[in-house]
Amino acid sequence: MSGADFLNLFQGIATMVYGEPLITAGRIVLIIAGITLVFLGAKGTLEPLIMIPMGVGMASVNAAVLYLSATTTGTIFVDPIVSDPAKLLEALQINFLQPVYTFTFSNGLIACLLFLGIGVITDVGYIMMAPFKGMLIAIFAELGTILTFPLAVWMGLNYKEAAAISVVGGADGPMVLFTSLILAKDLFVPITVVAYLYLSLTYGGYPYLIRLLVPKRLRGIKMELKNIPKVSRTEKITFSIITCTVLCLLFPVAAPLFMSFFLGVIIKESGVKRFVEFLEGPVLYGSTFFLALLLGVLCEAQIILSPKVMNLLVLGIFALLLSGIGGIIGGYVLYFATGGKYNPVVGIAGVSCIPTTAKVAQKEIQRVNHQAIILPYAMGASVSGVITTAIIAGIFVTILR
Amino acid sequence: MEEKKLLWISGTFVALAGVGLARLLAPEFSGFFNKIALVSGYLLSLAGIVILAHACRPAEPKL
Repeated sequence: MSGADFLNLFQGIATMVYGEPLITAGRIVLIIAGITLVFLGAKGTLEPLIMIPMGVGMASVNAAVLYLSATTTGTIFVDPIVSDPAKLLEALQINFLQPVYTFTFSNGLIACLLFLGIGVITDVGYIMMAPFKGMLIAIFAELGTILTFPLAVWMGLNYKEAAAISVVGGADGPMVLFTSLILAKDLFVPITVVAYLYLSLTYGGYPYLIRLLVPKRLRGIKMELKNIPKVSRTEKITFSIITCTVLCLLFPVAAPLFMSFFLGVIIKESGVKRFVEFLEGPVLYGSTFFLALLLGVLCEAQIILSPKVMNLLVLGIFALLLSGIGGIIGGYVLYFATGGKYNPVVGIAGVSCIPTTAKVAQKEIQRVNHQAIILPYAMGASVSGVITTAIIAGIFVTILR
Repeated sequence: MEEKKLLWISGTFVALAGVGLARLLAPEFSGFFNKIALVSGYLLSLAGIVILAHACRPAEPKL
């Protein structure tokens, strides 16, 4: 049996070595990366909800390249580049994930579904109990978003691409997806993959940043919980509908996201139990699952291997690191402003990534002082972070679109 | 109660003034002034939202 016959018997291996050596190497690296993500997700080192479907998709798609014609190769998973209506109709009938991609992903619907789910699990009362403090921290925690933009331009990205990668600093996955789809469609796959990879690292990485920047003595500060005012449902609904309207008036381009988020919040506060169960279960987890699977499947070597990917990897980690540092600086500002009553660790929660960063802050504080509870304040900063990130993304999209 | 009313009204007014600045006034200018009006409008709206959030906050119980 000759080598050529063997390669034809297992077509995936024949297509693996067909074409440019760089793409072949890329596929092998991505298969290994996919398998690694699955194991890290299953072990809990990385976020399993995202990493397991994404890793399986990444490994499978790069192993499943086949000859589509005598001279062209591809997969029957999804074709993200097809735009001609006749070819799209054909792709919808052949590629098994094409309907999910075309009807929910490429138009941003999946980001809106995620925001609906996030809205339902968010309590805006946390912002309203200390609005100035929460917003101040959230603005400081946008340091990465603001500083990454000029750096990305300096590294050779155009304004739209630079804005899309900068939004990673806001640590809000659906927002990154939405912004990159509008501003940098050619780079939205690598940008979104980079964003979700790094976001899942915040749980493991930010504790070290906190320990590095905040001395043990300050990490143990107990915050006042007795006088936390209760916010009524009516007040939460009123605040949500007015804020939603104002933000939609300001940023019509990002209005679908604002509407989805605040609709979720209002449904929760209205106590429509059936809708709440539907949105926080099937909608949130269903869209997270398909988002992760599609991100993995989109990591096909020919799509993802762009010369700009290395830049994106550097810029993404830079943005998140600076935002973390900015948040802690915000925490320190409040620590000094309140005469030492505010725990600076709360600042890390301003990097939205809701509710991960708030949990990280609480966990780190309890390592030092078991009786210290800061979760309500951290959640307030986190929810404020979602709003400030949405506003900055809206500004980028409005100015640069 | 009076103070809360004032915050409700001023928050809504400031937020809508920001909207007006960013969406109505800014397009009338070009170049540098356009950007200034746009960014000021966004910041003013954000400030209005924060004031609104403060208005929703019930008064802390007096000890």
